[in-house]
Amino acid sequence: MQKMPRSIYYKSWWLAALIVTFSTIARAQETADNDVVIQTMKSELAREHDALASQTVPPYYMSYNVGDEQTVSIVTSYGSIMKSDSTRRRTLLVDIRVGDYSLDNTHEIRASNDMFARGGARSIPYEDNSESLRLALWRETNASYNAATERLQQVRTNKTIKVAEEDTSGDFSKADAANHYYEPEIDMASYFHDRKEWEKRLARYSALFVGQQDIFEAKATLDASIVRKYFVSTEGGEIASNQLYTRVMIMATAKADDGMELPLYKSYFAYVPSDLPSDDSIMHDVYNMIATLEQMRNAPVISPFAGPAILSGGPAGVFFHEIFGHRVEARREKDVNEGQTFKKKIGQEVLPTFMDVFDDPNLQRYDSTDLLGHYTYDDEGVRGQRVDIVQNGVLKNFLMGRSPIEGFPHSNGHGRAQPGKLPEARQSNLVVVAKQTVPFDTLRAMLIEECKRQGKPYGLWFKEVEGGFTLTGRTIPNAFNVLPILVYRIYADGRPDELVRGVDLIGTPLATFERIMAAGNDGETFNGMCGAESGWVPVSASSPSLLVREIEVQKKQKSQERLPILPAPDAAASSKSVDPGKG
Amino acid sequence: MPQVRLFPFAILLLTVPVSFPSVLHAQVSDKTIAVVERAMTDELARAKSDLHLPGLVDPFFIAYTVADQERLDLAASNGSLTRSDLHHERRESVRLLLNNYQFNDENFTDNTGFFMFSSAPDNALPLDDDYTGIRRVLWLSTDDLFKSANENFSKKKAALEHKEVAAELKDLPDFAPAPAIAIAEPPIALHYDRTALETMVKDVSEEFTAHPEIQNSSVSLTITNSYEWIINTEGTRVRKPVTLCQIEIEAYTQATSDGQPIHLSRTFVAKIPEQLPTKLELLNRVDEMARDLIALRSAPLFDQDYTGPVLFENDAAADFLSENLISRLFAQREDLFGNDVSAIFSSGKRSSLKEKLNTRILPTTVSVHDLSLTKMRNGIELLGYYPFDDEGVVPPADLTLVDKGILKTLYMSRTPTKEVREPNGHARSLAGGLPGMTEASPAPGIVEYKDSKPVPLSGMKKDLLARAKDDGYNYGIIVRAIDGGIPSDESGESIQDMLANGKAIIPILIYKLLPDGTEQLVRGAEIGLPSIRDLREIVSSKEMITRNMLISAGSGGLFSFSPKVAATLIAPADILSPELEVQRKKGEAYPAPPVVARPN
Repeated sequence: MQKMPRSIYYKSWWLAALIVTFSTIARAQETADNDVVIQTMKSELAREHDALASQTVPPYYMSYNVGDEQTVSIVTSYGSIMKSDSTRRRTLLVDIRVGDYSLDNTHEIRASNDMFARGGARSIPYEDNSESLRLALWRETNASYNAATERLQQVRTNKTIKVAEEDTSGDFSKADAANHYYEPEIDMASYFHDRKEWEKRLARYSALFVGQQDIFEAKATLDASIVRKYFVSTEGGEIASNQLYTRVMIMATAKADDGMELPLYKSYFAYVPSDLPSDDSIMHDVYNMIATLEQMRNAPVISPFAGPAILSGGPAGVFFHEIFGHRVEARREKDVNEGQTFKKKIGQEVLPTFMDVFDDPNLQRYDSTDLLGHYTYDDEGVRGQRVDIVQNGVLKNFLMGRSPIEGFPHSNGHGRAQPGKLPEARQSNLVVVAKQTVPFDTLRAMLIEECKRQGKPYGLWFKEVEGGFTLTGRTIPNAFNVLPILVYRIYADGRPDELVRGVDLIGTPLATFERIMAAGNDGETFNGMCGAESGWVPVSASSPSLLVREIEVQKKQKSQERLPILPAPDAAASSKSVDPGKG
Repeated sequence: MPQVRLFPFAILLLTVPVSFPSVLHAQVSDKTIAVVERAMTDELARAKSDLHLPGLVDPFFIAYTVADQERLDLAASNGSLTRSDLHHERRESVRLLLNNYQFNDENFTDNTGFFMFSSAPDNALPLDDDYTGIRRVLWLSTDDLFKSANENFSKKKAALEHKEVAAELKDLPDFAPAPAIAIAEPPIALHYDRTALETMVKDVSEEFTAHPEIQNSSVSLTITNSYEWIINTEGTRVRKPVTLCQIEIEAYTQATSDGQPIHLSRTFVAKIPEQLPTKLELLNRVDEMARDLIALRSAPLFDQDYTGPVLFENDAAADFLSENLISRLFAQREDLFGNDVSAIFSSGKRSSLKEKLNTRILPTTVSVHDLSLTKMRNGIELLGYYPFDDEGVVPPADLTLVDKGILKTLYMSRTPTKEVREPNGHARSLAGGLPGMTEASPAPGIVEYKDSKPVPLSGMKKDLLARAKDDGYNYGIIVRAIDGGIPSDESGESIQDMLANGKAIIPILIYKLLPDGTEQLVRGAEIGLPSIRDLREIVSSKEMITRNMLISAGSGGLFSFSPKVAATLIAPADILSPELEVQRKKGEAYPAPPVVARPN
């Protein structure tokens, strides 16, 4: 047994949940009562509901979701602006449910190709004109009602002809959804007012790659996004809230001499643009990226390996989001086409006993990092709640929208969707907590110890990852694939750490969980966009560094292309004295 | 000689002052032109001289296309904007061919990788006049293409070792040489005011609210101003402006008795904003569309089997000719083993008439010419004009496609076909498109359809009734609007509707003309596609209309249901097809009409 210091690492999350105020950029004196959109949605919903109540198949529930997306998108490459656009779209989704809570038109139709069954997004006017909005709501309600009644018939037929379902829970849960919540509207011009200045800044960042002969793609981009979400329901819900973020990304790709593409990313996210890092800080990171890419080019290619590894906080967060988080989203425990990995594991140990996992949309910060997955109410009008998914290693709960599963009849405010899509249970801010932690150096020492025990010459350290994708279905192997970018070998014999390239992380989920040995007393957040059935939603995943007894890697499939045959034109041009483009 | 009648709009346009204040919109500067051209020229020169690798086949032909495009895109519904975007983009595309004209890497589709998404580098160019930045993008695209072309070339050679080439394709060259040309047309500055256009689009869309029977409607306007450069290793060095202004009005309702969905749309295209219809004209059009739709709601279903004469008027005549004749006058290369790859993806469209070359397809009195080098006619800037095509080939001033009814030649790109080997400057890209979006395919420019024995407009209806009577009917059929087959988000048209569209003509405004001259609107009919025998019998009106329009290109390739090119059709105002089959459109389940009353 090895001695290790046991510091209790239990973050004060509630303190981290700082209130971000947007008072300076919100329109003054605006309330729900004089918000044209919410009032029009409310009155039209009431009118439609009254009229449809007298039909032979009346709706038992109706709601309107309107998503108003304002975006600014700037792309620069090698110091030049490639794109600088702004758009605004308002999208409507009408959810009409006929039947009852136990069986309605949204029920899964087994053995069918049901891709288009549940409604589609409609573009509606973005101007606050009550008459045109009402007409759009009216026509879409009509179309949705027709589709709902037709589908309920199919659902009933399907239920009659197929064997009894395993999960007998209903289709929609009752919820305390008469919530009223209002945030004033924010317009892009006041939220993001330095477009020209940002174009220059981004051009400066990407210009640092000019003259780097081995870097073939270099971009600095910015996305500023305001998504204003409106929700009204026949249960009395009435919500208007804003999701804001500005993200700066630096992306560069080098190529090794054998043709392997080596991408490197750096992204910065903040609720308000002024909270993004300074010019100096970002430029410093760009210089580091250039140096790292050069190191990566000369790094050896990984050979297939199975052995101990350390995952830094960011990669560990992605790892948990992909292999764990997606599998505790309720839908995957109900849909017969899904793997249902955790269905029978409630109350059982799925992680080491020193670990907790929770998901909390109320969190706005982790250390000093803004968390992208924050919201107050979900897209089904339910207050976002902290869900303790795992406590002391034992699986306790699932992430729930209003689609119940056996034993979990209620929503915990995780019904989320991209505007225009029907909400499903999704992650928000996933946080992995270790109650026993060690300093990183100790984690490293433990890794070396484990290498010796297993007779491995080295272990791996995953410092950065790109994100990942997960296959949770029944018909495809239940595996995950996180895409590592920066991976080092840590040698057991004390040689210096060595950067390697071409690493693909593979494995099966359940096995991987059992192999977590220890956690660091650090923490890191990965902010990103997560795509699934209900579209793209902003999420975060935070975790301490983790030591894993065994992780399996394979060699990344490399691009078959060689290096460009001719040198970059920078070189060709720099041999001339004047650059006519800049003259 | 048939008398030329101006399109009614044109008269209005020339006499009514433009209603919006004009703001000059920035076009590419002289500096931009110089920098882009120098970057293209220098990188092409370098690729041509230095791009070799032992073991790989050298390129013999490289072409660069660059386009700078500004696009204003507006849409409104019931008086409010749903979209108002202004985009500025620059993109490039590279074509690189290995070996030689006779045998190169094209005209071969590797079945194994057919549905793989290509990993071609991003073709976006800097919007700044960044000489090195432009070269860098061209450099990577050229490099990528050089390698993939070599890969394809070796697969093509390997395939030839195992499979016999169709006999008639054996000696057919893969690519036709073209003379080097140097043409430099200056950029066009468009005059428009975004705010004023937004107001116009909103106001026009609001006009539908006066007609509560219209369940859904939208009005959109796009103004595209592009400047395009092409250079190639044959020495061609050309540039030209390409502008397109388009207004589309769509409206939707349902029949009162059975819920049949009824869509009506109108598209107006022009080369410059000043030649778009005025606001007043558009408001009138909206009212007219609303009146037609309201009439259609309660119109009886067409419930007969009719085989007899059909008169196509105005827009319907132009659509009939373009879809059933003009857009079929192309020849596209089959692949090495005789598979017509383009045909696989054009199942919803009319097929090429290439098999009919040198035989009669139209009345002996009809000739069809293409006049793509004509800039103006009757004060209208012709949308189909272009000084050179998208492969850098100048079209003939007058290309005879049909002479005395005999099909003489077909629209051609630089890829020879067994029917026609020589290019004729008709490789064209999609209207409003950017380099790299789709490949140019053979398509019309300015088409003139002339009948030397036309019937005066006043005699067309009489002719219709007489022919109908001979066929045993006490009425004739008039069609005034055909479903354009372009589904949009707003119209709610289904994929089924879209696919069905190529298999029959779906008339929207179709009338029974009774002997006493009264007309009875009917709905729910479809008209069988005309055969060659039907085309040979077409009767033309004496009055001609010059009309800017978008015409389907022969083959748009993958994922493009309805590729269209900017064109002009000069053709009879009305045409009569003596023997078409009209019947009730069958097998449809209609959605219920709205349960809840329209909001007030």
